[in-house]
Formats: sequence, C-alpha cells, structure tokens
Amino acid sequence: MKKRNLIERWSSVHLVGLMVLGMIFTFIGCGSEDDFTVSSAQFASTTWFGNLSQSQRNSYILNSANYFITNQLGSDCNCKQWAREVVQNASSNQATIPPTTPDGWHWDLSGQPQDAQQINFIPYRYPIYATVPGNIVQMMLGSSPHTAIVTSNNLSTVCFAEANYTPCVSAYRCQSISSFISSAPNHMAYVITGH
Amino acid sequence: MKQKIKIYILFTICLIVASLLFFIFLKNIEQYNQSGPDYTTHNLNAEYNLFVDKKYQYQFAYPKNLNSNITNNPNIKTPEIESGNDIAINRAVSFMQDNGGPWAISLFIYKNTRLKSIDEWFAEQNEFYKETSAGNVEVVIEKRIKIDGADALVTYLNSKEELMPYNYEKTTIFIKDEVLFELSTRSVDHQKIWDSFKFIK
Repeated sequence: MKKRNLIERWSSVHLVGLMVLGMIFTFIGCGSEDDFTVSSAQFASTTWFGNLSQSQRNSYILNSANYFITNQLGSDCNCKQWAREVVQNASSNQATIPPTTPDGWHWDLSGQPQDAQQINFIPYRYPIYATVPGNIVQMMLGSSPHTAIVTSNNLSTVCFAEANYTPCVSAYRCQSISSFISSAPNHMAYVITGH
Repeated sequence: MKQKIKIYILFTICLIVASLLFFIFLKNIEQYNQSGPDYTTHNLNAEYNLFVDKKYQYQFAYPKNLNSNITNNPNIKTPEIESGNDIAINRAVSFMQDNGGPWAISLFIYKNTRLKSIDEWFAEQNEFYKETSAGNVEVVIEKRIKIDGADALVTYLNSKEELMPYNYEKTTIFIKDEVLFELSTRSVDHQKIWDSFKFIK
C-alpha cells in the first residue's frame, strides 16, 4: 500500500512538472514571427533581437521588408535609408545598419555596438553566391551605390527587396546571378546580427 | 466612249484618294511606333536624344544609352494620396541605365499643384523625412538655378548616419503654370539636362 502511494505521488509530481515545462515553452519558447510591435520591455534590459537565432532575425527582416513594400512605407527615395528603416522596424529599433564607406560598396564596421557582420563567402569568388534571405548586399551599380535585401537565392537567380531602383519606389526584383555580377562586380554582403 | 472616259477618270480619282489615305495611315503607324500618343523622342546629336512631352509641354535631352519608361497616372506616392493631401503624380518619366537599370533620370509631374512655391515643397519634404526617418534624413538645398526662366531648387538627400553624402543624386524642383516638376538626375551630366530643359507651346 505504502509502495503504491509512493508511485502515485511520484507520477503526479512529474506530471505537474511536465505541465509547468509545457507552459514555459508555450509563452517564452519561440516568440512570434508576425509581431512587428513586440515591446523590448518584455525582455527587460536584454536586446531581444540580438538574442534571437540568425534565421529568426533574417525572417523578421524579410517580413519587415514585405510590410514596407506592401504599404510603400519608409524613405523609398533612398535605398540605404530604406533598408535601414526596414531593419530598425524588424528589430523594434534595437539594430541598425552601419554607414557605407566612401568606396560605396562596403559598410564601416568599426562602430560600437555593431549590428552587422560581413558574410564569409569562401569558397565563392563573389559574395552574392553565399547570401541567404535576410542578408543585405551593398553594391556599386555603375557609379551609383545601391543597397538591397536578399529575399531568395538559388545560386542561379537572386531576388531582392529594395527601394529606389525604380525612382522612389520600393519593390521586389529578380535577376540572374551572372547578370548581377556583370552589373555589380563590386559588391559585399552582410548579415544583421544585432547586439 | 464618253462613258468609258468617265469610268477611267473616276477610277483614277479613287486610286489617288486611296493612295493618299494609305500613305496617311502608314505615316500614323510609323509615328506611333517611334513614340507614345503624346510624347516623342528625336535624335539630337551623337550622345543625346531629345525627349518631347506634348501633353505637359516640355522637352529635355537625355543620354542615348538610356532606356525610357513613361507611366501615366502612376500610383507611386500612395501615402500622400491616402493622407488626403491631394498629391498625385500625373506622369512619371524615367530613364534607366543599360542592362535594365537603375534609373539615371527621373521626372515626376504633378499638375494643378497646391504648392505655392518651391520652398514650400522643400519644407514639406523635410517634414516627411522627419517622420519616416526619425530625423536621420534631411533634404539639403545645394543651389538655386533657373530652368528655362523658372526658379528652381537643386537639392539632395543628406543622411546623418552615412559617411558619404548623396549629393551625386540631385532632385531639381520647379513650378510652371501650376505644374510641379520633380527632376532627379544621377550618373549623368546634370548641367546638360538642366540647360536642355525647355517649356514648349
């Protein structure tokens, strides 16, 4: 009888424990992919955007870009500023894009805190091959610097979300990678890491 | 005999009229293929073509290597329209670089503008960027010029978070007969475009 009571008590304790764990994962575990207005106060003094996984950060950026394009929001007469506003919106203003260097196709990563990193594009010759959706490409198109967010890349065709490729319009654009390299051999790709 | 002569004369007249009509028909088709219904392009010299907008009565030179794209009533500035400010672009003329872009010359035309002056445009633009960019971006006046006699502002965007200025990309604003022209130029000879811009009757 005593043994049976112990077993019953052990089972119920573990059952309660499992229920509590389930509740914890439900409310904290993965976060919301669709909520653009998540309050940073929810995570007290931590940078919630920096604490996400990289794929989650990329998803937030893509969703933010789609939101901006659908509603034609932001400073769409300036590609770099528009991309910056997309990232700021995605991260609830906890991350931003660093300034472009005078050569027009790199970012100045010397500032602190730093929210971006240059991607590792080894073994490819050109960074565009190594990009994944959510990465941001800084390029020279002729004599004009341009900034665009990668939305897809199958190593044959790359698609971007960008502003001011067509005057003062934010939109999606796809081109073959060979055509991209031909028009923008000087380009670099970055990932938004937050801090 | 007289009857036969009459028939021949009638036949000849009909032939001449038919030929004339056919000639006019061919001419119209040829003209349509080389231009839109109310704009045309002409060869100017070895480097430039002339774009002539008959509807809004202006013309300017553009580099031959650029590809034109003209849109009537484009719904580009959606936020302004929705806000009830009654700002609608009536025509967007853009010239893209080789290989499909990006744009090198862009002209937005707003007819019956409610703006009283080009300085009012400047003030409104800065108000817009103050909201969208949280004050990071501002419009800067580079200089004041004349575009075929009309007062014009040459402006560019300045980003406080950027190390390099965007003054290679200029937007020139002028108003003529209540029509607002926003002429943006980059990667081209700005002065050439400004000097060639003429209002036509």
